Amino acid sequence: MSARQASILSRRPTALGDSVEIDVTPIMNMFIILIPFLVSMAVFTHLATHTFSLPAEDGPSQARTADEVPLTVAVTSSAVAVVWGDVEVARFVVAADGSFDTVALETVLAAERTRRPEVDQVVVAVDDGVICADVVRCLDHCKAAGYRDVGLAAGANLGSSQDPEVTP
Amino acid sequence: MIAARNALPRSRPKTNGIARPQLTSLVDMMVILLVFLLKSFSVEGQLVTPSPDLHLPESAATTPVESALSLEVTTGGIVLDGRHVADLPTASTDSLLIAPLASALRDLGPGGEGQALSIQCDRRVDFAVLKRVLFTCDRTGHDDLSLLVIREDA
Repeated sequence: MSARQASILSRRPTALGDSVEIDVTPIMNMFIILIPFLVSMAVFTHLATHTFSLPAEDGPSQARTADEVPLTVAVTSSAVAVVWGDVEVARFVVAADGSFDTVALETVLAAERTRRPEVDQVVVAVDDGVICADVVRCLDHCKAAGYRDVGLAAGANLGSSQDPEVTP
Repeated sequence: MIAARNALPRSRPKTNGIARPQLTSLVDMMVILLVFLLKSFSVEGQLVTPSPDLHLPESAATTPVESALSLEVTTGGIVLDGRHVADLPTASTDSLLIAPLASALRDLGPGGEGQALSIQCDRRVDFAVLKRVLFTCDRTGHDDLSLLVIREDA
């Protein structure tokens, strides 16, 4: 052992009872400055937006052919139906607590999207009595199925007729 | 022997009369707080602050919020840019146009027409009301509409 090493070892605390105190004052100062700044910039509720389009006023010159008719998701307080033109593709009964088979709805929408990839538009036609949260949920399912142009319309009437009556 | 050892006066570190508080637990708490705040830190801050009585719907949408004119549709009424403009229309109302809201939207002045509207609709509001609000917005030249929602994955 060299003399230098012996000198260093001799300066070590010999007893376990000797405590070494670290001065935490600088780190506390940093915390006191940093935490109010971070509190002011913190976001506790993460918000997003749902963009949608409203139905256009189609005149005679803008009439659509059968292939251009968008898919319609008709939402009432008792049922959710996927309708393409005059044909009802699927219908899901809404339970008393407002729930329905969302997985099946997404599957149907995705299947329709695959079947007609050229049609990128879907219209969510909502009846009176449906709350806003359910409307947003249907918009979610349409976008999850791959539709980018999602329209919102009023007048889904599934009670008396199989076809939704979309009011522009 | 043990009793004799306990009877001995305990040696205390020399403090020269200065009280030194134990800061370890405080530093621990600060570190936990710092990690939580760093996780929820946002460089942009929050562009929109919804009203406390407004329960926004939850959604899987991820489109970021952009600066737009705020239109709140709560269970208590319709608020445009922080100003109460109309009560909720009743379902029995024949006209889809909400006249006070239409008037307020038209009074936005030059540059107001066609301005993007961020609709903050309470999750419990009936679509019959939202339909009338959307119709009124469309009729007054505001067709750039979006619904404000709470991100589910956040």
